[in-house]
Amino acid sequence: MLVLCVAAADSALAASSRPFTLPADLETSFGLAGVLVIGLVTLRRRRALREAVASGAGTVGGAGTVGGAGTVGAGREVAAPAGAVAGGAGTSPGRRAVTAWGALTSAIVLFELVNYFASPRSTHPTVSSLLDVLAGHEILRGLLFATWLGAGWWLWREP
Amino acid sequence: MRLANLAIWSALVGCAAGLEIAGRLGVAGLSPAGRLLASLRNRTAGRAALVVFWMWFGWHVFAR
Repeated sequence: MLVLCVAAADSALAASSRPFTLPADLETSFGLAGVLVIGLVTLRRRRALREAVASGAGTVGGAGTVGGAGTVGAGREVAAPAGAVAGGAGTSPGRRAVTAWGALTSAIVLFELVNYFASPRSTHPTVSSLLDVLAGHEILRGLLFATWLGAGWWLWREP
Repeated sequence: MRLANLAIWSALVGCAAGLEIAGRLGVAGLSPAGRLLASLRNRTAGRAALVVFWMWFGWHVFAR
């Protein structure tokens, strides 16, 4: 809850700041550092839980103590076979899906590069210049910042 | 020229939306983007790459 409040406050501050200013640097750095700290704490807890279970001392209660918040997911990860893609075969993407998304991503990257090396930027907009239009509005910029923080948090979630 | 460029960007976004919908509906063995990203996130190198991209993206859009 506290983390959510801090993230919302940081997003609200970021909504009114402009790139290439000290406030923008500070708010973005704060968001980056916050998400990285959360990620490192999550990894450390997960490792401690794994070690506790491996040493045989990790009963369900013990695991909960080590893991703290979000131990349900951590327990699930420990229970999964080593090296398995979490989520099981039912949730892992098929070859066709990987090919389709890979082709689309390649097309986007290629077109981005073509635009990046072409000029003027107004005629050849890149993703960032398109996002600049979006980020020019305070509310949209705040929402974009909050979405970015949310994506960062998702990267550290339990599989 | 700008219009043509924006049309291509729109087409790419449309393709992404189409793939996402097809993935959610389970059409032709496709998967939504979230499942691919989750699969990538479950590997150490994949997670590291995503975190680096996330950091670069945030700094690029919001700070510089």
